Amino acid sequence: MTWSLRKSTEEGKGLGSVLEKEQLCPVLLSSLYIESYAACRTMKESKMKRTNRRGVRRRRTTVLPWALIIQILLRLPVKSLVRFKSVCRSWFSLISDPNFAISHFELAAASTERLLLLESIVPEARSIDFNAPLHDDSASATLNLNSLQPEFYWDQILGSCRGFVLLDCGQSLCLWNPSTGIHKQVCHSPIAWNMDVMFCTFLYGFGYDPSTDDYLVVQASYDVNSEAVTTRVEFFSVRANAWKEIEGIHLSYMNCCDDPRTGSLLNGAIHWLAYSNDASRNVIVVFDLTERSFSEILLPEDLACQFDFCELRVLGDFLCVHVMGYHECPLQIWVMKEYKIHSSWTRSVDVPVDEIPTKCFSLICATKNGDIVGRTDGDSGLVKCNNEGEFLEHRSYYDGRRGSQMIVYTESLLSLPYDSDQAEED
Amino acid sequence: MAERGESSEAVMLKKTEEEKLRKGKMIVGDESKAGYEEEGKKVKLVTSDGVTMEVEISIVKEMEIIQTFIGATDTDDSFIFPISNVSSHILNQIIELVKGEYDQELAKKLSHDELKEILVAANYLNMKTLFHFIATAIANVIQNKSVEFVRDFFGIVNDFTEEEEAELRKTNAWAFEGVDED
Repeated sequence: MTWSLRKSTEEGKGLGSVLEKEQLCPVLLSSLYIESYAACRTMKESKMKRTNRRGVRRRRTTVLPWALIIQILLRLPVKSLVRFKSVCRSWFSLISDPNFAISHFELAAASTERLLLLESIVPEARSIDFNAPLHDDSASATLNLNSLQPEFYWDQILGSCRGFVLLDCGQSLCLWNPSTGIHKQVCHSPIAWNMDVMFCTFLYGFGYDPSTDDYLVVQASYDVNSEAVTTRVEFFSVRANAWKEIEGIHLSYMNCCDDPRTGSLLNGAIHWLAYSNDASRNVIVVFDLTERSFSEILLPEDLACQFDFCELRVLGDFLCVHVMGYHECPLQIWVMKEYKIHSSWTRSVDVPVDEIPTKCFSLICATKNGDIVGRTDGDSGLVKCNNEGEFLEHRSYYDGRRGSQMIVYTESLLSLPYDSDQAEED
Repeated sequence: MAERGESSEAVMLKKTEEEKLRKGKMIVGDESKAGYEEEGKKVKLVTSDGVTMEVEISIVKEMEIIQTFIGATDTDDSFIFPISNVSSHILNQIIELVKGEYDQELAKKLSHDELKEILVAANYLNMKTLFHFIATAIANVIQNKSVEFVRDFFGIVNDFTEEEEAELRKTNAWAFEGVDED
């Protein structure tokens, strides 16, 4: 049943009680919404007299019950909903309601993935609908950063999950929903910022644990001066608002410190490329967000490349590894067609870089119809190729400047959970 | 939905005064003993404008409100179901949509009022697939439209002050880019 909406984990007040009902659209509304709907009155008949499409004079407009309006709004993309906050007060309250956001996200009928492009020097943020043609101006919008601190800047994008993007802002980390402007500062881990020991943080991840309705920021580090490379893993629970080290794991992974890897989310787990000291080779490290446990996925045997040029991505529902395309070498894509089944690694298309202006191309994501989207280095540009690897289009967003970063995020209206003893941030 | 054949034409019968009387008793003559599941079988529905329509059983099966009635009684075909919230025009549109296997192209031909009335009817008749289809169709109509279009579409009066509205538009300026002409 598509409209059987999630039972609210919050107190079943307000909208929650409207959405929980088994009945399709209950006439019974909570007092809150009856009041707000009453404020949203119907226009006078005289105002509505105009000609409709069929040229017939319309006497009046069919007025939909509030519960049915909610059902329509649940099927709209985030961008439309953010705009329609301006329709009237009752729509504003509804669209701002956390329970509505959860129902909207879980109905997923209108979920849209967009690309966030951050230019760190300016600073400027742009949101790009990569499913639309890149040259379509309406597909790209400049985001408002006023809700963030005036001195806000970012060093790096570290992850993305359910509409939130994790940013490293130097003195702290920041969780930011680019669609709504909701954000939260997260202090750095006291362990990795211990001044006595030189820890190198080489893996960053950000994910959601549905069993506890909590977001986790995960990072792995090792002591660079220690002979035995022991991986330390710690996570920040947004709900608990605290860092915690995961004890009793005996892992030994490492990467170059100046090239920390950000995780790829798939099937409730974060995935990274890392070098395994025990196996003396590169592997995919998997962290299960609910079990809080680690496992490994081996890379395809025929994948031979320098680690620096390899990256992990999620294309559609598949884990994939790609080798960056550079001058004579085409972009190489390997797809794991069945999750955790090693024999299912398949070499997908090669994308030649001849037609790409900077002759350098790395994979970012795939569109709904299977086109490949990648970035070019040096010009903050995007390139789109079809699923045969044929060049379709290129667009540069910030000419001549460097230091921009990109990540795919799913649009959502979600806010962050917090325990009652923790004051909500502004 | 594949079992629906061409024979499923809904027959519209103008209601006579006599039928109106019978409607009061909810029973008409011709008490056939044929099974309720029978292919091509029709169920009589009386619409809000007093029209009795014979609707193919495969379509009626999607109307859970009527299924509840049928389930509660014997599998008898002699009932006439009054659907007092749905006009014959809207019921015809619903039949076309169900027979057309919910093609979004069909929804594009509907007027805004028809879309809204079908949504209300789908909710009343408890037709889940139709409800989702029409709610999605309405969402498609409004998703790239302006705030003014949406107010007009739903008959909503703006109750923000000018300052409040300007502030909201400023804060969410990105969402106002690339909006279709009304």
